[in-house]
Amino acid sequence: MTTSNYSQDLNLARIIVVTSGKGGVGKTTTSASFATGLAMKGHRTVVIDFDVGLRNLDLIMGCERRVVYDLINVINGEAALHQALIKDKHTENLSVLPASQTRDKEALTREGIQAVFDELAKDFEYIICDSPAGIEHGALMALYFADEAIITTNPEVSSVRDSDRILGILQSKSRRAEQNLDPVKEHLLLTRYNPTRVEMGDMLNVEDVQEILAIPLLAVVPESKDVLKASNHGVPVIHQQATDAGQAYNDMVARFLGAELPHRFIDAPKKGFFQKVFGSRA
Amino acid sequence: MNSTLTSKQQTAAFQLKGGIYTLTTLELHNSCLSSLSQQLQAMSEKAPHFFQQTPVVLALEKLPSAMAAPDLIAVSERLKQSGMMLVAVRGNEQYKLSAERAGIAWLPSQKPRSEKNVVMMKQSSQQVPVESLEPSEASAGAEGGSKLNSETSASETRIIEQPVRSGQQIYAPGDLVVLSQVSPGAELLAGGHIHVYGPLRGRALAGVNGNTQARIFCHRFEAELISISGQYKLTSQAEGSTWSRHWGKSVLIKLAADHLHISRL
Repeated sequence: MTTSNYSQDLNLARIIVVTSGKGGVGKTTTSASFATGLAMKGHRTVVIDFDVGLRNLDLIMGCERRVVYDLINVINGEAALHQALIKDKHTENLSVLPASQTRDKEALTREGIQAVFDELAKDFEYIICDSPAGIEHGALMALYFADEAIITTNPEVSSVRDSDRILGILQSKSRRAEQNLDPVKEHLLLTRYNPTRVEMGDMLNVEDVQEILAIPLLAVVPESKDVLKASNHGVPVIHQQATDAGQAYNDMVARFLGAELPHRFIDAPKKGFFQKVFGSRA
Repeated sequence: MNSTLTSKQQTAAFQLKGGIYTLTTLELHNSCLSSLSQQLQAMSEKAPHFFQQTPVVLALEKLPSAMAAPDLIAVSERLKQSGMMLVAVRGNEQYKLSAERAGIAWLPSQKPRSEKNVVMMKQSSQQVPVESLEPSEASAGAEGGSKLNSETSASETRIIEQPVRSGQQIYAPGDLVVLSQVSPGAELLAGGHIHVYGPLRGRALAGVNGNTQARIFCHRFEAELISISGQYKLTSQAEGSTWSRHWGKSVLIKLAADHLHISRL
């Protein structure tokens, strides 16, 4: 590959961090389905697990039995990048770069990650970074090089506040902020949304969350039993197009790529005639 | 009743409990007993009954290392005359033995604490220590992000165009103008006035260097805390006071006769 070709490709790769501040909101689920969705649309995509020490992405992607080398091995020069990359079985164009389960997060260095990204940029259009929870080193490393950020938020106050904190960090500690480039493009992804509970006032509604965070809404993913089931089977939920969550992630990917779709899964399902008459006895 | 412990019901002679107490710390700057005496004398002349059986910790960290260690027994005696009870000495290990001899406790030296996130309230005469912000964080949204705090003079106004997020702290020596929202958990500090043209949901502290004429203007008042020249008030919607009646409204807050006043704009 010639040098000019290389730099051209480098410009093409978009680095997207999936982050939230708070844990357990659906970052890894989102990373897996988002990366899968992009790959299904024909984009060469790699998804990287940054949660060093608490490796999960490989489980969600169903490739835990194929992990030999990991991100830290590559950063330390103990393995070549192509040795650590795992080609996804279900989807063409998709690779997974797992985290190390035995090292700690300090093993992530800015220079090391930069080198890995430079090399990935030769082969991939999208680099998805699955951030660990928190605002410590691992999370900072995951977001540092980001061009865009998917802010994964649950409709509850602590998750919203932590997302707000992460947005502040993106504005101040990312590479784009430090080098005074265009700011990181922020997208709000509301996950585990339960319209029925929103109507009952148990959860914040979409408008509440948007009002506080003031960033554009990419998609709403409804709370769904299928997500847990899919995770346990090691198949990203986006593969299950019969499910709400699968469709929601599909919409998310389409909107991310520029399609204009109306938002779904925001309103509670209307009660049918029989339910109205007899009450819900489910 | 038998004095030996026979049954579990019998009450124990003592129970150990932890407690936190505020103790006066006497920071010794030189080990000369006569100069200590002099200063104590001068102090008790001014306020004879200021100390009465007051427990005191003697801190030796500031003592020049070349100087000889003070005679703790003599110091203790001298302090007792002024009404202070020396209960412990704080310093490095070398004082451990002499503390034991003097019959007082020894505490290890304290590490100098970083003054991060310390905002002094109600001490209007003092400069407010501000978390040292990295230039990029401090100037997030400021024009080009190129101006540092040190470059802006007190009269200069700082304008922030982006939302101020939870955990961010913005300081302006002069006036501070925020064109966007201020999230809960964010903090604005200004030597002069504070203007917020979005919802103010975080903290706003105006006149931090003692300017009692400073005011806070906001488009939508939903603040956690507001303060002018050290006078502060925690605010909430549920409270049922004048403040909560102005919740979500466009307001002006000023200081008059040491009280904070809020009024609709």
